[in-house]
Amino acid sequence: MKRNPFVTGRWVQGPQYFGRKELLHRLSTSREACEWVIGMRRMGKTSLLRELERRFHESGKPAFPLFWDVQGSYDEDGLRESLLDALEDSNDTYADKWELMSIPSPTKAPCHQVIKSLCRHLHSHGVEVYLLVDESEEFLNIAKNDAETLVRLRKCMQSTQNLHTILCSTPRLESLYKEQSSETSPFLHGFNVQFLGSLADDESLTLINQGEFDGLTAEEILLLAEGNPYQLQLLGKMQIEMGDLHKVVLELETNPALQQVIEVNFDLLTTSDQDLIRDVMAGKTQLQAYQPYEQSSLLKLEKLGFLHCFESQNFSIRSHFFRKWLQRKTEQNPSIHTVHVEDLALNDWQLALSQLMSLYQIFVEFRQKGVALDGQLTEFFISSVDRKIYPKQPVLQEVSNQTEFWHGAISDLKCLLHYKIPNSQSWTLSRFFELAEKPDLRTENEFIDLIALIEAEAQL
Amino acid sequence: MLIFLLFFQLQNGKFNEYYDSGIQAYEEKNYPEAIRLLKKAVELRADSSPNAKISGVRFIEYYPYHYLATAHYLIRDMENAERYMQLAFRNEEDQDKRVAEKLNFLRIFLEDWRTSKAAQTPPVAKVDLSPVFEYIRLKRYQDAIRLLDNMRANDSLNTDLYSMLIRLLDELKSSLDRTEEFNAQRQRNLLNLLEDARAKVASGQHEAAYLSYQKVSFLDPNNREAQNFIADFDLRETETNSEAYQQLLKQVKELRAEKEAKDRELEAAESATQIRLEEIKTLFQKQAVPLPTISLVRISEQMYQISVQYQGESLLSKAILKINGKNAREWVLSQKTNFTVTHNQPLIDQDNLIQVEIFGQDEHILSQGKTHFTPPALPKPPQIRHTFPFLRWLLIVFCLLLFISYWVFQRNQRKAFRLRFNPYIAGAPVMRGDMFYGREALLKQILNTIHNNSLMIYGERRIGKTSFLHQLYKLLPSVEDPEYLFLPVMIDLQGIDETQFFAHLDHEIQLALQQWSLPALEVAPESMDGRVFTQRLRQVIHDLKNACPKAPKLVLLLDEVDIMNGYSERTNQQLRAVFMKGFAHHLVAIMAGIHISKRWKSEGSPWYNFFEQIELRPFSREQAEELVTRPVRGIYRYDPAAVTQILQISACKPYIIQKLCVNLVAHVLNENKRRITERDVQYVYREIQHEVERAV
Repeated sequence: MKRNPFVTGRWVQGPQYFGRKELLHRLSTSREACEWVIGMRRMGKTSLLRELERRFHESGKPAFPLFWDVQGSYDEDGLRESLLDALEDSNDTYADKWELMSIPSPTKAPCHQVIKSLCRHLHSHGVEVYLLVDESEEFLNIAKNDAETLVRLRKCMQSTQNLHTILCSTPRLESLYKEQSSETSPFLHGFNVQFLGSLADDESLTLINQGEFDGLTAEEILLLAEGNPYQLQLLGKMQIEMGDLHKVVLELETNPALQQVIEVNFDLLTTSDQDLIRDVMAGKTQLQAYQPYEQSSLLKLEKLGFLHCFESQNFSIRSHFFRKWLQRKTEQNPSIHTVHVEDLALNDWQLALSQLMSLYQIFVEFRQKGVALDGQLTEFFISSVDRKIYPKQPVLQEVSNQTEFWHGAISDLKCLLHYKIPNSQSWTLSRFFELAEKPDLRTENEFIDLIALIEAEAQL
Repeated sequence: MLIFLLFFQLQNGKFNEYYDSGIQAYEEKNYPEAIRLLKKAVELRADSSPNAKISGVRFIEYYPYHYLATAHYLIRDMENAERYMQLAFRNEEDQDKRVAEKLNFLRIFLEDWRTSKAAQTPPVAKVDLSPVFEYIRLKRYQDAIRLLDNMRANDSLNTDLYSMLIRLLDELKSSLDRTEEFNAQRQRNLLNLLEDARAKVASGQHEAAYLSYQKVSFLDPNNREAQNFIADFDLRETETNSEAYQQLLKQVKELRAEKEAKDRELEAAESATQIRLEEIKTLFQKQAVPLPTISLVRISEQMYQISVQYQGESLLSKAILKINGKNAREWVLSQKTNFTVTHNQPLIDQDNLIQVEIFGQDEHILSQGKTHFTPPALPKPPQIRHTFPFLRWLLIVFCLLLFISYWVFQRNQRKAFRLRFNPYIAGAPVMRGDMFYGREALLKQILNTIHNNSLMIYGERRIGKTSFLHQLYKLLPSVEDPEYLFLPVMIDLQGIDETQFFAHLDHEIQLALQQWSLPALEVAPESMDGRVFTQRLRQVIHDLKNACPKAPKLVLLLDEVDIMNGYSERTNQQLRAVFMKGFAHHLVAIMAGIHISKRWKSEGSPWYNFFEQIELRPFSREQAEELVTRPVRGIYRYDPAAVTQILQISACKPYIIQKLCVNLVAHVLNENKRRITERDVQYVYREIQHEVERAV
């Protein structure tokens, strides 16, 4: 087995860094005082900042980059500690530059003062300071714990002459304004927003070609990952280890690390953004089908790498693995559905019978959570997007001492149907009602078979 | 005795030297020399052998006779070729397939040669006719004729010659017969004349007697009686010189003329005889011009060697060989009277006409010969599989090694059993490489990726995570990476309080530094946070970069990381921050635990985000079987049913397998047996069931 060139376990820099040429250029030549790069988890934010750091150091330009990881800072003291840590790290890595610029050792002053002092010293050398801040979501904690520090820091970032600040964070930081007092300017005002999305196809291919795969394999990896850098690295790494792309794909579809990243990233989105993604997954792919405010969100989701936009009009879920995860999520949580104004209340019970399995799964879902969905009180709607029946504002009851969750689910389903379809003319439905009287006398599989039969009848 | 044996050995040893040299000479086509050397070899060792011992354990194939047979054949010593071929068969040299093929071909070639010998032109035509001539000289023409008849019957005389000779001899014989008749008649006449003359003398008819005596003297000039009478009569009559005397002289004259005429007849007959004899002589001389001998010998499947021999007395100019009417070869033979030449020619499967024309000095054909030859068909030889001699050597050595290995193996087996050998390890982590099974592929995978990636190995209890880390710890220093030198540090987090976490990491790293003969840092504070740890780690990496020949890669092997589930997020974040530092290029971690809590409340990235997660699963069936059987191979034996049952009970989990097997071996040792049966497994399982079920 040859030495595996792909990296999934740490940040990359230099020859191991691929893509982002345009963004790197923009950031390194920007005259803006503050840039804010938004990217999802494992999209390469840390690597972007580290690569910028390296380029600034090697460019020969009068620039001093400082990589600052603020995670775990919590407050002013923590922030200062992390800044001092960053300065020590920079001194260790670029000792010659420190010596050249005769940068003095930092004092134990507040971090904004440390930054200012550094900028002043380097200004005398005609050097611009680039503050590369990673894990900027930590400012949410700081805003909670020590708002003043944040204000001072913002002022420092915005007004120090030879200081350029590049923040990297997930979209979570957008909610920073909620943590701040309305009397102060929002921290992120004045920050120029950039998005760290998927790699372009040519950039992806360059990354994939480290593995020296044949053209077909490289093409397949490209299609599977659709520019997601972490997935590209993971696919490449595992292809070298396993040698069979089909097996790699099957492995990754259940890989806990990848599944977790996808889940975390999805959870980082707002509810409305999540609904939009679900809508696209359900088949609402045309831009025109959305409201204007939804359209801008769709474009933002595209920039963040969740969606793929082609011909400027149509959207699709980006990446095979995200698609699979969404499918599984939908199957596991059938009750969750995006609510649209156009959705109509369920009155077509023939449609309900044709989706009987889905209804059963909704009842199972709640029973598994330890609650029971009251089918009589809950209003069911039909999605205008994919014609799926879902409970809008489900009415739930606590359940105690349930034996098997599916027993309860069968009973709940029976109640719903009996309530809505009192006069059944279908033998199979009558049989279902009969057996549902005592579900413990049968196995779940028998009920599932009967439900499938009813569904098939209804679809005919 | 020893000296004798040694001498004998030496002598025998020498035979192979002659044999080898003989083969070498044969291969260099120096056949006479090959024959000489091979004969010497045969003198020292007469019997052929496929495994002739030369010394110690050295053996060679010794087949001298077929080489001798072929060498003799190639120098056209067919008799000896035949003889040695028979010896080769007698010594069973044809047991070897290669030799058998060669002998088969040789036999066919010799057969061909015998066949082609019969197709030769008649032998040198200079027939020995001297006995015939002798008979002719003795005027025993009938005997000469009889001899000629015999020669004709034996085909040693051609028809033409015979006819001519017979004709001449017949004439000679006739002439002789006539001569003899004439002589006989003459003798009779002489006697009659003598009687008549005496009678006439007695009767006083001297004149008539005178004539008779004259006739007698004509027939027998040396007859005394006739001479005396004629002399007396002439004396008396010459005094008288009578007319009667004159008349008598006249009659004598007439008789004399008659006699002379008869003598002339005899001379003519004699001349004719001489002429006949001369003719015969000429024929002989003519017959003395020889014909060339043409012989064919097969030298390969289609190739024949055509030999032409000629022995004559006349000077020659050239000879031409023609095959099927076309000139095949020409030899210049200036100043030669005899020659032997050869020509190699492929002959097709048909009747071939082979002619030789020999030219004399006058450029006319002096002699010529011809023969017809149809090559006999050769049987198709079977495929020869060459077996190289050195393979036999290899085989012998291999068998010896096998036997020795088996003996050593048996001895070790008995010894192991005596010493109650039980290699299984149940409980403690597997440190020994030879007892670590089933994870080779995963080890290799990790070793190929560790230069770039940190990893999280997770799996249920007792699945082998700690053993796996120990194996990595052993293997990493010897990994030949082009870029890095891997320096593993084994860190067990079990029971480590959060407050001691970084201090513990630091302490283990310092211990490792001592092992690598690097100076430890100054004594660490009792409690250490992530920042101080980072500072000290930075210094360690700095020192390592100075001390190592390659870029160092510190590999932290952290076991029992589940404990970090109980740590605060701050500690977890500080750990993450370590791997975000600039020196992180020289740092990688492999963590092992059952489960890492994924509840991450912090806004930032969790540390495990960038750790690739690899599950350590139960063994596959093959891996499990290997763990059961291989450690005790050759010492104890598992019944297949026993193995199946072990795998079933253990669900292929390595710890349970080890647990079962260590108890099984102890059990069979107590039973003083080596075979582990299904019943043994059931017995042991009953004994440790509670432990096994708990582990499963």
